Amino acid sequence: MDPVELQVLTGALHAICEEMGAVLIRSAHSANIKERRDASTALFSAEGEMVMQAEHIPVHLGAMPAAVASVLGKEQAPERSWILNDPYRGGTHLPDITVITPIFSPEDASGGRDRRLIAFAASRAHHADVGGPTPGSMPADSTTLEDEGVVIEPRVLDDAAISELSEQMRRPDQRRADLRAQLAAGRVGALRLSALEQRVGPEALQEAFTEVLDYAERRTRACLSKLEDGERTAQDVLEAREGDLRIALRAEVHGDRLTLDFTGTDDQHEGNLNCPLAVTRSACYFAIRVLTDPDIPANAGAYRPVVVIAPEGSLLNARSPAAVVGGNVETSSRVADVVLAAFGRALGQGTMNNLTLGDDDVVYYETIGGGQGACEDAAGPSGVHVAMSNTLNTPIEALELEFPMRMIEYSLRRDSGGAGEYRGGDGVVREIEALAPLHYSLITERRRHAPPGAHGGGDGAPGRNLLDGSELEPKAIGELEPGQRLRIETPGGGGYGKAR
Amino acid sequence: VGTFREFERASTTEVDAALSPLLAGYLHRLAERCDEAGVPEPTIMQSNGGLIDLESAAGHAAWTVLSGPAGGAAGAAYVARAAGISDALCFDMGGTSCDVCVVQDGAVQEQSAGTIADRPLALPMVAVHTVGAGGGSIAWRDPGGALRVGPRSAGADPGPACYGRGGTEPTVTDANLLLGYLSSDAPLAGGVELDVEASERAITGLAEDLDLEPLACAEGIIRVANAEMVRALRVVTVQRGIDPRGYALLAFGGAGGLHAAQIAGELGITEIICPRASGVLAALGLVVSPRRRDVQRSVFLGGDDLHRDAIAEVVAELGEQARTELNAPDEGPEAELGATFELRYRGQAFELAVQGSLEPEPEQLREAFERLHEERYGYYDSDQELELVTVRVSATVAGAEVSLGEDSEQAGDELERASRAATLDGEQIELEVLRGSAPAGTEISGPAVVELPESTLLVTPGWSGEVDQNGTIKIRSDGGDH
Repeated sequence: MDPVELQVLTGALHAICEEMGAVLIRSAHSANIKERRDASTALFSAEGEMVMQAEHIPVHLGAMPAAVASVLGKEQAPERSWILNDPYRGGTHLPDITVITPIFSPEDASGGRDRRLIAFAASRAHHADVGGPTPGSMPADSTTLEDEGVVIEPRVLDDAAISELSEQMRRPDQRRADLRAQLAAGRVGALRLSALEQRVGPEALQEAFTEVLDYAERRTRACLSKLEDGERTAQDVLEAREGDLRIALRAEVHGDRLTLDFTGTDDQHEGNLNCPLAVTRSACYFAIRVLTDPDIPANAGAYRPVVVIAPEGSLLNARSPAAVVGGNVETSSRVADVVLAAFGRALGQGTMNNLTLGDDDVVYYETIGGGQGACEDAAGPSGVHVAMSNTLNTPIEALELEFPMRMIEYSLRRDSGGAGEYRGGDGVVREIEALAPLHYSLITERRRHAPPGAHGGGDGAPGRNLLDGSELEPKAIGELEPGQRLRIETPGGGGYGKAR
Repeated sequence: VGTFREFERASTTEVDAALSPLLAGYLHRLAERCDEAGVPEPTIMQSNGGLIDLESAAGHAAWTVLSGPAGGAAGAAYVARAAGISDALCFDMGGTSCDVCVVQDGAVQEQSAGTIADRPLALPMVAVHTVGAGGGSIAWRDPGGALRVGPRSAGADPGPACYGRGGTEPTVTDANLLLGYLSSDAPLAGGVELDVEASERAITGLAEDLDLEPLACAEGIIRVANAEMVRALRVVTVQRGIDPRGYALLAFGGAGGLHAAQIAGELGITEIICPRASGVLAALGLVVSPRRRDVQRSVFLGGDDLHRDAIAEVVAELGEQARTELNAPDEGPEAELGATFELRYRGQAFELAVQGSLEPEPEQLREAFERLHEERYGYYDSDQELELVTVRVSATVAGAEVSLGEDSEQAGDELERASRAATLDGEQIELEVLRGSAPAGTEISGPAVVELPESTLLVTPGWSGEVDQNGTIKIRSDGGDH
């Protein structure tokens, strides 16, 4: 395929994914999907290789292929779609629901008896609630998957399934609308791709799939071969309730290939910091995009030169039915961190600072920004989301209007970024006073261990969680009485190079 | 700023504080020079598509950040209305980028707030989307072997290789020249003469890297640039729930007309309009736009507090403020007031803006809001509590009416017809060339190029039409696949 055709078809496939994303975001009801854009869309070949993805959420990068793989062996038909969220059957954590729509060649004039399966369209969206005991389905204290909400094994998604599943979750009207939005995204993907096939012909479309995958592979290999050959190691910890858990990495570059081996990582635990392998892969792929070139199309070809090894039963390849909700938001950040650390990068805050406040009527969930690590040629930005998260903050004025709470302080946490030739970004301070009795839940990291700097740069300051001035554990749940104040100080990023 | 959400408000204030001293210095020098030349003091285009007096603009630079695109959009809407077209996608392609906006029911679509250069601005502005593809965009081979166009641009200096100002990298303009859509014997606006051999050298270098023939490479550059713009137009229209097939494509800017037919074909658009004043539409926009001052305030009226009298009182207060701050000349009519209401269902994190009367009943607002909510999001919910978040009032004094067609009669004297060889879809063809201002009724049928004073329209096979009484070219597709 010539270089023009390659670029035009790459653009066309990308445009289809983007249009699917626009349709999904436009027609969903959840604020999560609409406002925070916590959703991704992708196209897969009939063999289940991810050909193109619209770039929305890093943690979805490597996890969609596992979802499509889980329905590959099933009987496909036009107008049939699949749904799943089971982290051990292609999902990530339960609130992320995936809908997969097989795409068939267009009907021919004779009535379309020989419609061939040509591809799959897939969308993944973070639903505001998927049932379970905790509103918002993000519990800090879960120990099995059942504690985290409704587990959906791969099944056909029709009207009956939509009703049955929605009824088991909070706000069933909203769930129905969000699921229909995902179906609409799949239909638009199917419509556009079959129209593209009609225009360029079946052979050219299949050739385009092959070429786009090969193209991404060539570009990744070109970037990897610029890295120095050899073995690098890095390790870091997660701050579980029972104590620190170890994540170990041996990264080996050999020519234009990269192996990421997490052997030596601690076993899965009783809490919810476990990851299914798909989440571990996503975090690795995100780090590889940072180390190579974010302009490379995010598809299966880009990751062909990469091998990810995580022993079964470890934190990074957990067995069912271990709880996983913290794995998706926190462990994934640490996996990306160790890969970047192995390649000499200063690290960012390394946590999403998940805060849930609520009572019987209201639930307020947010993630809080912090310091980004410095680069070899620039300071790290302050007060931003880092790595695996990519969402907006809730305005103070909106928060105080909607919830019985008052914001006492929201500011940059000065000098929390690591020193260095280039400084790490500063974290933020968010202090909230309860105006009514409220239940709180905190899932945070980097409270006991600082985000490290690199090449002589200083560490960022670790974060702190304070209740009326006394320090809380990184994972904490409890009650606030009116007048009590919860203060979150998020970590600073690591610095780069010796300070002058 | 007057609206809620502290970050957006602070960011707007910061932008205003940082830019106003710079803009004030410039505008005051401009006013002095105008005074010396005996020209009246200029009024300034704001991001919202309305004009304001120079002193107000000098004090509030944040009002003016989209001044240029807003002028272009206003001019485009005016030309579309004059051509009898109410719905159009406007496509302004210049040297380094391409601005896209939507005209619906004859008016440029606005948004209540936007992000410019990564900084949120909580002020009303025309909804313009920018893509980094223009005539000066540089074509290159990426490390994976694909042909790419932009985002790097040669700009106007050194400019494309064919400008002969030291540029050696191939650009979109070089491709248009090599393919024969532009001509070396027709200088561009500003008298730039084009050197086709320089284009050929630049493109041949890239073609060798890509293992393509130079002409195939040039066509490839055009296709890749068009694909970028089609992608942007698709997302812009889908996000607003618009089917582009029901819209005309209004092509302007120096390079817009060269790409319009192929882009329209990709989007299923069957009508293109190309104004005679294509290269200076922004200036036309300045002449015809109203003077306008917007003032806004977040009020959070819901439940029993949301009633006719409460709304009317806010509108009246804001209206008086807007009229005062408009600083309209004393003579002439009093400024007209228009009200916009930003509403949401209680608990939603975003608002939708609807127009309303100055004393609307809450039921009228609910009806308008729910119609828009269904259009944007596919549903509405009459049981949910409605909340009026922000009220915005505009005071406007209408701009000038200008005739676009006055001199198109004698313009006919300047029309020359000729032909030249060109390459299209890999084939050598003869393009009919129309040079100069074509009189009303001139028929045009592809393959042809119309060389207008400030831009060039490429009419590909399957497209034909004529020049209307305003000098605007309207062409339609016969729907075939060419």
